Amino acid sequence: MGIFETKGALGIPAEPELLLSVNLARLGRRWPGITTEIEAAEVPEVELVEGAFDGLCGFTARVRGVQLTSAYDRLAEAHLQAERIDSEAREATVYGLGLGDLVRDVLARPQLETVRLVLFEPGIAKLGLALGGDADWIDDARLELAWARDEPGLTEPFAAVPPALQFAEDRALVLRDAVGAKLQEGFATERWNERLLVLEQHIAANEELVATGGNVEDVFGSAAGCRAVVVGPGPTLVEHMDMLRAHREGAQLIVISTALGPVLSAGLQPDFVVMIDSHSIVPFAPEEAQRLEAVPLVCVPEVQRATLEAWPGPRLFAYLRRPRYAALAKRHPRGELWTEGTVAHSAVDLAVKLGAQAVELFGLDFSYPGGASHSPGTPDYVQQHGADQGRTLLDGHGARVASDPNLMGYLRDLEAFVARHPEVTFARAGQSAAAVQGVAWINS
Amino acid sequence: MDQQLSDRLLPIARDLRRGASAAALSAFAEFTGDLVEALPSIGERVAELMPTIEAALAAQQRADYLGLADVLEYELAPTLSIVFQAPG
Repeated sequence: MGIFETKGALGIPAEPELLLSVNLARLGRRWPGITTEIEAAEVPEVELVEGAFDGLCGFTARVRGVQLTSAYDRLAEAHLQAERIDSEAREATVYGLGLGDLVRDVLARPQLETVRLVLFEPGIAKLGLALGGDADWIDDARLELAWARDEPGLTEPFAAVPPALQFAEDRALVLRDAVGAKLQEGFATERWNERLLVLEQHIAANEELVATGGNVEDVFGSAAGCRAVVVGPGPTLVEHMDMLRAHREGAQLIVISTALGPVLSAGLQPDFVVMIDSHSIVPFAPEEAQRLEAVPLVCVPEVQRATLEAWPGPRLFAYLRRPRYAALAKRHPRGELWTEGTVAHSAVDLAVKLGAQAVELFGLDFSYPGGASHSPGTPDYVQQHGADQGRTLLDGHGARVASDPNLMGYLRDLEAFVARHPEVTFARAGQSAAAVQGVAWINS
Repeated sequence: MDQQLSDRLLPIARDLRRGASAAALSAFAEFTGDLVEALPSIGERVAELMPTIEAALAAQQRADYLGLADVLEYELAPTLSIVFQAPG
């Protein structure tokens, strides 16, 4: 019986092969193309996990160490997940099959006119159809079925089987990241609110520096048609220093402050240094200060005052499009830079606003190639462990590379930015790092 | 501690089941810190908790968040209630 070998205890289907064929036949009548693909898929190696507690008894499947559902009470878990969909909704999307409990729970709501089930991986879907019991929900006329890879984007309202995201196939990673980010949203907002108070204090403390400092808007459009090179502190930076030296010629060199150490050590002189992180530390050694006397620091007023004051060159202030800048912007108008949370976004936006026609990225990796968080020689360098399978992206060779949810979100935001700027050509070095859609690779 | 240790596990498990793993893991880290502080008060009964705590940490390590939710809700919470109600 191979992978479906079961004992029939605790509700485990005694004949999963038979169930699979019945459920696939049902599915095939409505969605023959999707069914053929599921039928042909290889089922991953699976362990069956039983759970018994206080009258509850159940089971689930565990794949590569990850349970697809609760082993104790799948129905209660599915019901909890379904609560994300408003009770008044007429349409809903279910991301992931699991063992079929969530889609069944959602379809139990009579007021729903359409329920779209989105599958992330054929082998995992096959497993769900084999072990999830009689999938009579397939016959519900309100049900639509789709692959995640074919979906244009996330649709609200939705409910999700979280582990389904961890097994997403390569072509479904964009939607995986969108759903994953949405599920974490509340926590990010809560953490951000805690941080906001500190940022507001920094902004108030820096008003005098802003008033006497420069305006980033003065350099917007100053290098129309240029090629700009943006340098970040990612792990691949040091491997490409020779290439960076060659590409620096004739380009505007924009360096994120945390990458300044390796850039100065390589003998390169930036045209701009960018800093927006409120935790930023002074990014140069005292003996390097003289080299930076003519280099503008492009910064926002939420950076710590001591760090700003330590900069030996001119300061060009920018604001981020956030309500916390509204009052200051009225008193001291300054140009705006874009970010969704990382200085990498602002540095790339600066390049575009300078007027660059081509933007080249070095050390912007959005991942941990080689297991490192940053490039050696940068302040935040840490050797990481590998990420679990749900936290991986595709590198420039099509292999999975470890990342984390923040970096994955930043990468998707950059992809959207690139798509909004068809007038600019984007390219980058570091093919062992995560690939960014719309950005070509520089190999020499 | 303003809340019974075992009572804190159900909200963490619910967040894990909903896919809000960042919030859940942050709360779980806080919980484990408080649990470690509380362990001396139960003397030798610590041994009763250890297999479940190890199972929870192993599930977290392999990013098995529904497995972790199961351990917290159906194994650790009931054991904690018993052990901390009647310490040895």
